[in-house]
Parts: sequence; structure tokens; C-alpha cells
Amino acid sequence: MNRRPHPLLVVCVVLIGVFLIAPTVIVIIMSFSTLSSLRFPPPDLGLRWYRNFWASPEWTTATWTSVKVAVLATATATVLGTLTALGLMRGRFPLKSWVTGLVLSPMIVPIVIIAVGTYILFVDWRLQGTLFGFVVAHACLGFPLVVVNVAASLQTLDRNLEMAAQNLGAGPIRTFTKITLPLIMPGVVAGALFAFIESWDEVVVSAFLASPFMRTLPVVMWTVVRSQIDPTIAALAGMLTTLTIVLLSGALLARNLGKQGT
Amino acid sequence: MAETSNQEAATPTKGALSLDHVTKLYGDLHAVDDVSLDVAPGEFVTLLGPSGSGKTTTLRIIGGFIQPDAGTVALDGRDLTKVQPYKRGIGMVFQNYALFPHMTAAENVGFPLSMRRIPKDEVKKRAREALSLVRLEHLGDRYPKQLSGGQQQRVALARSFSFNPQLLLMDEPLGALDRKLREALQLEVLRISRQLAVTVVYVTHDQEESLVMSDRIAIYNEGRIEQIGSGEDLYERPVSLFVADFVGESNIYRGTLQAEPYPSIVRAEGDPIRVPADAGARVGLSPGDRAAVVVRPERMSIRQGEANEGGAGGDGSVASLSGRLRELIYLGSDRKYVVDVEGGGTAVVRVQAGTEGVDAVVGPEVTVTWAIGDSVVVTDFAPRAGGDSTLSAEA
Repeated sequence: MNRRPHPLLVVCVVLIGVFLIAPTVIVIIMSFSTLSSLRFPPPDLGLRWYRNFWASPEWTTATWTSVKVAVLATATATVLGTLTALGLMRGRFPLKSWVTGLVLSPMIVPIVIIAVGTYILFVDWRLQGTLFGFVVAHACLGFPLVVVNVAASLQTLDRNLEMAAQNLGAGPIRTFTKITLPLIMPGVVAGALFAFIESWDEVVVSAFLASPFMRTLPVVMWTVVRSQIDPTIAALAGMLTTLTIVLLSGALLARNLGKQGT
Repeated sequence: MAETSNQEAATPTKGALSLDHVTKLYGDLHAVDDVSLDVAPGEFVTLLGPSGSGKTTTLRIIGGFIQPDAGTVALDGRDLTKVQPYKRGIGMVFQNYALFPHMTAAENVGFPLSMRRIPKDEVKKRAREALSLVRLEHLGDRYPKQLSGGQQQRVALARSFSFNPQLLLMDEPLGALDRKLREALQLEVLRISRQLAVTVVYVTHDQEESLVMSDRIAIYNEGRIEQIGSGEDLYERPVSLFVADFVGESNIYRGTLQAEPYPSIVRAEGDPIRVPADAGARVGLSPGDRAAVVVRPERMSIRQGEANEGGAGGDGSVASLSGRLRELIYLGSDRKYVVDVEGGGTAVVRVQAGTEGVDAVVGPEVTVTWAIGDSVVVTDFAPRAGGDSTLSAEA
């Protein structure tokens, strides 16, 4: 294992890494440009486009909508996903593998199919373009991510711990709140963060659900990029990338903590 | 807790466990088959048997984690069979300790107390007392991860009795520890159970451990209790081949019980082995029944040369077997001779070093002798198995 890798391998790995990261880095660098066109490398550096973003009601409204949708969808997905994972891992009922497949289907079905289906249904139910509609749709997308993460935590949980809690006088509810939930918390947190990120940069379903008065950030970005290109979008990209890195690191950290804990 | 135990230690009055015809089926398999067991207050009873013999299932039925298909479990006359585990008030130590990893040692020990809605200060105080009883009062703030295996075991023990249960269940609690630590903790568990005057039902597959700790031992075999009694009972007076084989080292010779011309076990080949006159009746055997004779290695002696009077001792008080010495094993304080016996089988003879004449035994022709009072006749099949005759047929 300690063998030094072949130089050619090192070169290839570095090149692939650069290829993957370069676009993101270039966009972030351009976001600090003071020019009104996207040019690389920028001749001058400044925060002009960051100020522009926060000064524009179009952007801030969409940001606020995205935050609301993501927080509510995450909360819904986390509660339902955790309970579902418990049911799937612990319950005994007929057609369990079918139910599992159904639960995980939002991760498998092409997103555009989900988007079209949701759109048709929500127009009918008058949920298209509403906050509630966004929350429901995004919660459905985040839900399987929570189930998968919580189920993984439950898998590693020692059943004897729950048996011990019962033996020591804890009824089913206190066994769950005092023992099971604290021990699967890393999985719950990881699942919640993944669900948040899923909602936060979801564009396909959101584009179908959006109305002029109810648009999430990625939808506005997509619309703006199609009509005009100004470095505001680069500034936003910089902020979103940073946020995503922070959240994902948090999710991975939570997972690893969980693995060490048991 | 420490105070009460000092007062009550002499005469425990609570914690009488009673299992009445308990049966648990898994499909066609009798995991526990019609087990009845009465444990007196303060008694230390071990369920001993090979893995899969039903001892852990029995323990879990007592704890309430498994519902028996038939039979009842009662503690101090109260029927617990339908009572939820968290309402039984029975302490339990799990095989892998099952300490809550997100709680400190003191929080683990205090958990059953807070579940009983005891005020926080009192919980802390009693958790400390319980930890001091297992000599871990200084490690209350550590998390299980930060404790050694032996320390974790002590915390699990303290947690199991911190709420003063009348009955403690232990499921191979020392199984994961190395030998030296295990022996130290055996005495520790014994000391604490005596001090608390608590009834203990202990599961193990280690027969030495069961001999050290128990007032009585129940030998499990295929879901049934084969024999229950003190360690001495089981070692000196086993009733079945299984028990004789499982508890301690034995020399076993199988055959047919015969009364004439003298009480003996007649083997398929070789000389009959003389046994005491009443030996067969003790386990309900009559002449003609399949039986086996059990002799412990340390009861046998060995000498050079062939037997002079054949199978029977001259005055009928000594049994003997001729054979060829196969191996001599040096064990420090003891020597072990392995002899291929005439007519099939082996005899393992254990002789203390320094015993007169031992050095003269070099083989190959040797004679193994023992007082016939040291022969124990046992049944050669499980008599309660009813129609199950496969065991005796295969012999």
C-alpha cells in the first residue's frame, strides 16, 4: 500500500482533477471582476457584482423563496423519511421490497418525468406556483435521501441497546427518544442536509412549478442566463458553491461521526 | 442500596423465580422444550449448555423479550408471562454489555433510575453507589468507548442492579473477556450478587465458570433441562451421557447393563466393566437397558503390565481395563496417560506427580484400575425423548 504511484498516474489524476474543478474556479474568479461582461482573467478585482446581487429585488426575493422552500421541504422530508426508515428496517409487512422500491423511486425515475407529472397534477390541484406546492414537491425529492441515510444508521445500531433500554424500564416511546434517536442522529442530520441541498439546487421540477411570483433561485438563474449574461450570476455561483461545500462537509462529517460512535 | 443489602444479605426473601412448562417453538424446532425451573430467593442458578441448546432463549423469555408459546413465568408468585419487559423490573447483563454509547458510565448506571422518575440528585447519588460497588466510582464521567472491556462489563453490571431488582439475568457476561480477567470478574460477580442478596440466573457455555459460580447448574440439551443440581451433583452423579460428557473430563464406556454374574456394563467387545450394584437403579435403568459407565480421569490409576484377574477385581471392589499406553502428557502438577483400551475406546488417566510407582509406567502394556464406587452409570440416550430411538440405534 505504501508503494509510490506511477508518475503517469499522478499526472492523469491531477489533469482530471483540474478538468473537474477548473470551471467552478474560473466562475468564482470572474465573480470578482469589475467589468460588466464575463471575461477571464478579469483585469480588476472588486465586489461590484456581489453588491449588485443583494441590491436586486429579483435576486433577493428568489433567494428568500428558496430558503423557505428548502427549510420546510427538509423538515417534512426528515420527519417522514426517518419514520419510514424505521418502518422499513423494523417492520414486518407484506410486499416490503415493493414498498422499499416505491419509497426510493424519486431517486431512480428521471427527474423530468417527475417534473411533468407533478406539473400536471399540481395544475389540477391549483398547487402550481404556490409555496405549498414547492414544499411538497421538494420534500418528495429529499425524502428518499433521508430514508437511505437513516436506514444506514439503523443498520449499524445494536438492537441489544434497545432491548437493554426496555429491560431497564424504558417504554417504546422513551426507548426511541432516549436511545434510538440520539444514536441514529448522525444519519438523520446527514439525510436532512442532503435533502436541503437537493431542494436548494433543484431546477427541473422547480422550473415547471414556478410562476412569475414564486420562483426559486436556480429557476431565476436559468431564466437570467438565457436572456443576458452578467457577472451577477458568477457572484451567485460563488456563494452557492461555498454554501454547498459547507453543507456537504457537514453531512459527511455527521456520517463519519455516526460510524465512529457505534 | 449498600445499606439495605447489608441488612438483608443473610436472608433474601424476594426474587423467587418460577418457570412452569415453558415452551418456545421456532417453526418445528423446540428452542425451549417444556422447561420447568424453580429458583429460590438469593440463589445463583446457571443455565449451562452448548450453543443453540435454548439457554439464551430461556433467559430472554424470563426477561420478556420473547413470548413463550406455552407455559408461565412467575416472580414471587406474580405471573409475568404477559407483562412487557420494561414493566418487569428484572435486571439484565447482555453478552456484549449493550452500554449506551452516547451516555457516560454514570448516566448508563443512572438510566434505569431516571426511567423510574427518581429525582436527579438521587439518581446521581445511587449511580455513584452502584459504581462504587463495582469499584469504578472514579470513572463515572467516562464514555463506554473510553473504558476497557473489563470496565465496560462492570458498568453493565452496575447498571443491571442500580434499581434494586430482585432478579438479575446474565447472558454470557464474561464471554468476551480474556481468561485472567474472566476469572477475576467471576468472583466479583459472585461477591456482588451475594452482597445484594439478589437471585441470579446466569447463562454460559463455560462449564468451569458454572462450577465456580453457581449454587445450582441446569444442563441444557436441545431445549430441555437434562439435569439440574449442584456442581458436585453433576460431576459426581450425572444422570445421562450428555451431562457426564459436558461437565468435566470423563472416560465413557457404552454397553448394556447386566446384573449376572455380577453387576456390570457389557460392551460390544472386551471384558465387562464391574459397576456398583445399585448404580443402574439410580437413573431408572434395569438389566438389559442400554447404559454407559462414566469414570473421571483423576479417579483412575495406572500400572505397568497386564491385568491378572481379567475384568473383575479380585474381591469385586476394583474395576480394571487392560490396554496399550498411547501417550503420556506432562502437565506440571499432573500427568495424563492416554490408553487405548482393549475392546475399543480410550482411558484418560490423570495422576498427580509424585504418586508412587508412576515413573515405572512406560508401556506399552498397562492396566487401568479404579474403585467400583467411582463408576457412575448413566443413561445412554435421552429417556424423555419418547419415540426418539435414533440415538441408541446409532450406538
